[in-house]
Amino acid sequence: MYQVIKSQYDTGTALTHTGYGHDIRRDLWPKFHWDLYPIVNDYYHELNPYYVYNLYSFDMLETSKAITVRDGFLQFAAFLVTNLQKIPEADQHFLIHPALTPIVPPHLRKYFSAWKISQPKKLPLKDAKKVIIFGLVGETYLGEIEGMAAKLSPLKEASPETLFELYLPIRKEPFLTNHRESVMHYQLLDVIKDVLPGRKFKFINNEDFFEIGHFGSTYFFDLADDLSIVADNYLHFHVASRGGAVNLFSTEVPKDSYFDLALSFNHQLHVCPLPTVGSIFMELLLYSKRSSVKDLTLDNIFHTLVREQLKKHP
Amino acid sequence: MQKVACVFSFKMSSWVSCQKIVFNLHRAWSLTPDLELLDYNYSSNQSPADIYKLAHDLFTAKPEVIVIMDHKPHPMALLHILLPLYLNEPKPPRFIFHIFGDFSLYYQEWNALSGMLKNLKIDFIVASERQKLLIDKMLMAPLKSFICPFPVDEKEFFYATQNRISQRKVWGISDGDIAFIFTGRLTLQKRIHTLVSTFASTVKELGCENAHLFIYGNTDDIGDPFMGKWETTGEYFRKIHRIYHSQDDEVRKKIHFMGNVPNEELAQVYQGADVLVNLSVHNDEDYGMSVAEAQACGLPSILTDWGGLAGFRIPKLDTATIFIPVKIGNTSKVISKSKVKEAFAAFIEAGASEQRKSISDSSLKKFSIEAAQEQLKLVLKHPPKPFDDFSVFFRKVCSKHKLTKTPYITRTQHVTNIYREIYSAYVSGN
Repeated sequence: MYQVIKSQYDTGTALTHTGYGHDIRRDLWPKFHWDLYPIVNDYYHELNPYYVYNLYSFDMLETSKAITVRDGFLQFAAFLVTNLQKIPEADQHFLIHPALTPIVPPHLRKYFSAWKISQPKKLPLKDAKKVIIFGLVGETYLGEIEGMAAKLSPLKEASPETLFELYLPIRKEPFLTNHRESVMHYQLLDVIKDVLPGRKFKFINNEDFFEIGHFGSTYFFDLADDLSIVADNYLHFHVASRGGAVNLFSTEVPKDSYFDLALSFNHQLHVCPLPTVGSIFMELLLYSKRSSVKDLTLDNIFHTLVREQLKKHP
Repeated sequence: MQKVACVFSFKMSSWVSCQKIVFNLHRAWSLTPDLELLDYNYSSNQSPADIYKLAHDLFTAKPEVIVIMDHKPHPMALLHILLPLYLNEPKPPRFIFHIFGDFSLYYQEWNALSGMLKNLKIDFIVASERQKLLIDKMLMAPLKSFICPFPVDEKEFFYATQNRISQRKVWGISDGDIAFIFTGRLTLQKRIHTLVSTFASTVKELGCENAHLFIYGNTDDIGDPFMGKWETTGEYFRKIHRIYHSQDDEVRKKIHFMGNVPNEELAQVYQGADVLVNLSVHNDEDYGMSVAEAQACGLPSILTDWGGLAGFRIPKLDTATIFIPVKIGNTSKVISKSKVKEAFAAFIEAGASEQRKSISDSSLKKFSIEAAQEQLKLVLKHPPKPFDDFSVFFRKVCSKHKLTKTPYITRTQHVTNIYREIYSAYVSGN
C-alpha cells in the first residue's frame, strides 16, 4: 500500500494537474456535477483528488496508481457495484473517506485505504470572530429539517460578539429526475433564528464568499447531513487553505496514519488503513441486479437503500 | 472650492493591498486644499438599477471633476450610462482615472469606452515610472499619464526601534539574527519557489546559522496565464511545499511560513525584520504596496528590477536596495538565481542595517499621503487636453486579444513580440 502511495506522490500525476488535466472531456461528466458548484470544484495534490462519478473511462486512471475519492456514498456505491470487476484488474489504490468503508466489497479491501483530514491548530468556535453557516439548501445535502436544530446547537457556544453570515445557495436536488418544489429554505431560516435567538445574520452569495481573501478568525460551519453527496467538499479546502477553521475537520492527527500530506499551511491529509466495520456491499449489489434504472446514481430507491443500510452499520 | 466626485467601491476589495490603496488615495484627495469631495459607491454587487441611479446622481451633483479611484469594477458600465448625459452639456466635468496594475486585463473595456471619451478632458494617473512607460504606450500623443505613487499611511508604517525586540520574541530569534521577510500573495509570478530555494541554498552554502526567512501570506492559484501557465487550486502550495520539504532539517528550521496576518500587525512584523525580499515578475506589478510600507519602516530590500518595484530605488542610499535583473526570456520572465543568492549573502554579511532611519525618511518623502497630495495638486493644476483616442499600438494589442485567448505565447509556448513590446516597459533599459 505504502509503495503505491509513495510512487503516486513521487510522480504527482493527478487528473486535476494542469499538466495532465487538459485532455479531460468535461462534457462527458454527469449533468449533476455542474448543479453542485461550488462544493465540487477541482483542486490538486499529488494523491489525485477526483470524483469517481467523473471517470467516464477506467483508462483515465492509467497514469495514476492512486486516487483520493471525493465522492459521497451515493455516487461511490453506484461506482462500486458498476465497476466491481474492473477494480482488481486496474490494480488501483482508492483512498476513501472512512465513513464509506461499509460500502467496500470485503474481498477488495486491499485496494482501499482511508483518508482523513486534520487541522491541529483549528480555531475553537468560541474564539471565532465570524461564523459562516453553509449548506446547499435541499434535502439531499441537509437531510431532514427535523434534525437541523440539533445540528446547529454547537453554534450557541459562539461569543456574543461573533458575526454570523449565512451562505445558503439554493440548488435543485441533484439526483432527482423530477423537479419538486421545496420550502426548505424558509424552514431552515426559521430553525436558525430559533436556535440562535437575538443574533443578526448577513446573507452572502457565491461572489461574496469567493471575494473573501482570508478566513483567519473565521469558523466555517457546514450543515451537511451526512456524506451522501460529497465526502470532500471543495469549500472546506478553500477555507482551510486561507486560514479558516472547518467544523468537520478534526484537531487530532490520526495515530494510524501511514502517509501525511500538507494540503495547506493550515490542514493536512492523512492516509490510514481502512477501519474494520461490517459490509453492506452484498445488499447493494443484489439490488443493482434487480434495478431497472440504468444509472444507479439517479436511482432514488438505491439511495434510500444505501442510507438505510448505512444506518445499520454506523 | 472645486467639487470633486470620488467614485470607488464601498465594498472591500478582495485584494488586500487595493483596500489600503483606495483608502489612502482618498485621504490624499481629501487633504488637497480647496476641494469639496463627494463620495459615490460603485461596487461589483450593484444592480443595473443601482448603477443607473448612481450615474444620474453623479450628473445631478454637477461635479467639476470625477475621479475614478478604484480598480474594480471597471468603470465601463457606469460611464456607458453617465457619459451620454453630457452630450448636450457645454461644460462636462474633467475625468481623472487612477490606473491600477489590472489595466492589462481590461483592454476591450477601455477600447469600448474610447469613442465616448472623445473630446472629454481626461487624465490618467499611474503609480510608478515603469507603469507610466507602459500606459503611455497605450495613449495617443501628446496625452501622457501622471505619476502619483499609491501612498503609505505614515501613522501606521514608520521607523520604530522599540518593536524590533518584541517581534523577535514572537519569532523566537535573537537580536543578532538576520530576518528576511516576504509579505503578499504566495503565487507563481511572485516567484516564491525561487525565494525558498535560493534562500535555502545560500544558507546551506554559507553554513549560515543566524539567517531566517519569514514568509507571510497564503498561496493562490493564479499561475501565469499570459505565459500559458495555468494552475489548479492547491498546485502552487504543493510546489513550494515540496521545495521546502526537500531541504535538510537545519535549513527547514530557518524557513517559516506564517500565513496571513491582519494588516495592523504588518508594521510590527516589518519592525522586527532586517530585509524585505520581493522577487515578483507579476504582469500586474505596477507598484508594490508592501515594499512601500516596509521601506517606510526603514527596511532595506532585495527586489526584482521589474515594473513598479524598480521605483523603490533610494538614490542616496545605494545599499538600501539590491535589484535583481529581469529579462523576458524565450518562454517566461527570467530572474538570475545566482544574483538572488549573492544578494542574500551580501545582507547576511552586512548584518542589521544602520541606515533604517534614513531609509524610512527617504521613503516617506516620496510615498507618504502628503507626498501623494502634492502630486495630485500638480495634476489638478495642469490644464487637461481633450481625449482623442488610444494609440495605434493599443489598437494592435486589442486586435491581438480579439483574435486569440493567448496573445502573449505562441503554440510552442514561446513569448510573442507583442508581449515584449508591452512589457519591455517593465524591464530595465526600456
